[in-house]
Amino acid sequence: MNLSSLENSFQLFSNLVGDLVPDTDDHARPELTIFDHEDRYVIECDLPGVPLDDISLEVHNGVLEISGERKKPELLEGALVRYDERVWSHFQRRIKLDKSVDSTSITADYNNGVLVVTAPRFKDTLPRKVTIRTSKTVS
Amino acid sequence: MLCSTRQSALRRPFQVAHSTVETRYGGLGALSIIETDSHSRFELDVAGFHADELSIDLEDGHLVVSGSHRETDGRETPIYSERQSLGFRRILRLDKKLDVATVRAELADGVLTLMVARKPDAERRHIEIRNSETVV
Repeated sequence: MNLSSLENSFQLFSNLVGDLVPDTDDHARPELTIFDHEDRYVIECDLPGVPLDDISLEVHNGVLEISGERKKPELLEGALVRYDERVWSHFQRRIKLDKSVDSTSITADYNNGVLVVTAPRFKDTLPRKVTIRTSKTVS
Repeated sequence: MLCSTRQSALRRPFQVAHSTVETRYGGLGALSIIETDSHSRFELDVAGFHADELSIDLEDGHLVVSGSHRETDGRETPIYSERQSLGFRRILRLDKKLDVATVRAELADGVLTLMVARKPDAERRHIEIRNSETVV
């Protein structure tokens, strides 16, 4: 992704979903990807190898919070970690939801190490076609 | 290149949320190597990849692990993405003590695990220490 498209994404993101809420620096921040479908937002959070029991998903005051801990697996006796680039720590992401999102209908799935959060919009915020009446149809 | 993109993003309205580049979460293709007496285990983070989007090849004693998402995925363009890349490639040099014929791979919960067994150590053998009373 080049810089200009990144900036465009940020602007779109600001207009349509709302801001990312600042996270504290003592947490790792797993990567987010956000899709805008007509009737819902889909938020993907990369959490490879994190057991479902160690992932928490909450909505509070219009803020969606993904948090948990990626724990180092226990090694069998005699095993040695020779090299490690992966991050083992608490993680947290917070996203301020747009007012069009129905937070009571949010659902989530975990597939292939990706947490997929679906945030539907209120139906009355969706675009609808308005019939234009002519003077002949107005009684 | 990736860092400069992120640092430029610091000047955008989301400055605080992206202020600490170094605490990113390992990222696509991040690697751990675990060794035991019998084998070496390579674990790579490949969140979102299906098995048929990953490739593992043996080339001159190296394991070449790569992945790229199918173009026919049908997915829409995201309005926001922190993913640095849609693909990755890692080259792992295998120790000569490893038996490349034994490589096996498993994919679970976005983690690709490669197991390679060690060759039987022909040069190492246990030598019994005899007591002086037993030496003739």
